[in-house]
Amino acid sequence: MSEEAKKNFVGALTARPTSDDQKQAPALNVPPKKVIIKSADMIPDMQKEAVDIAVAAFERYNVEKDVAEQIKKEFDKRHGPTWHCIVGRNFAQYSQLAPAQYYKVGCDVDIQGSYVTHETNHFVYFYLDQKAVLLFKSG
Amino acid sequence: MANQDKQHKRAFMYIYKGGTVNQRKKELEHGVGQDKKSKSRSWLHRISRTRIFNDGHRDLDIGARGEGEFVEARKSMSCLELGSPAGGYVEGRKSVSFIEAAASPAAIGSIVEERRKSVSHIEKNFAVAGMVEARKSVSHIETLSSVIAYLQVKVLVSDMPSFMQVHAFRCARRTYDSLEKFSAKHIAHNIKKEFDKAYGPVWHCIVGSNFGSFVTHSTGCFLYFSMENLYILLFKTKVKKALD
Repeated sequence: MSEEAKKNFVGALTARPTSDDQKQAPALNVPPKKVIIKSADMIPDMQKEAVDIAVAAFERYNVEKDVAEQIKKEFDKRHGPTWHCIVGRNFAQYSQLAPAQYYKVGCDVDIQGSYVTHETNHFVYFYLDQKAVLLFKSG
Repeated sequence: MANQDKQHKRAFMYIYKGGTVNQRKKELEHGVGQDKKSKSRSWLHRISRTRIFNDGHRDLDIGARGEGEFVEARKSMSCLELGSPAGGYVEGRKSVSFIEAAASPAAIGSIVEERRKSVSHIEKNFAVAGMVEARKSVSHIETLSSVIAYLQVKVLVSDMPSFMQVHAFRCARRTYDSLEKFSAKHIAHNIKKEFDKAYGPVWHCIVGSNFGSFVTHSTGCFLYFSMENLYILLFKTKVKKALD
């Protein structure tokens, strides 16, 4: 039921695309999106997996919250609980790896912050076009 | 006879603790007035005098001196020191309200007497309460809504007890106001550290003006609120032992 509701919602969104979507819609071959891995504490295979899931999610959803939901649920399913995902174009992150080690990550223009503690070897932060994706495991 | 003896003893104590000529003069005048009045009136006046004496006694015990106004001012100041600005403001208004209420029945005693009475009442409250009680009282006065209004925050989603929410609001506002150069990262850092210390690990805090998220949090440990043009997400996750 909820899945159908979501599909209808997505359908409604696609029915009235934004100007950005209009630009991309006519193109038959969608150009591959630009991916920049800003910071990662994760095995390469898992990184690639995260990027692929994110790309698929962005194609399917337009709301950042839904993209985050898709990514998190997929990782909870594949790599066990508990993952957290933040998606947006105006936030940054301050992460603690070990008692005295810190990662600092930020957008070039808008240095803003989040502060998280994550498990070792389960953290990735990357850009997908204009959006930033923060994915980490904790708990 | 017995009453007079007690009164005499109290008078003695009064003189001993007071130690000033003015107070002795006042007492003498009171005695003179008492002699002039009728029997029943004298009795009522005697009771009234006893009350005044008690009030004075308490004043001396607490260490206040001088007129009622001075004492009032001192207490008001003390109240402000104890509580936050919001609490102090509310307390102050309460005090004023009490005096107004007390002044209504003008038939009872003179204005001066009434004022002293109200002063005594407030003093009694603080004297009995002590530090812990006073703090508790202030805490009670600060309801969640009043804090939200005072700190100008807006709660969007919450699964958290009131006191923890208030703690988060205060921490965010304090950090935001203290920063010379804006830094959302700094705000997030402070809030997370504060909560890790106060309520145990592991807390996560995201601060920004444009983001979406999807997280899993512990029961009763999730808060999403806005302040100025910022949105702040704060949640806790369970601690899991390392598998390595």
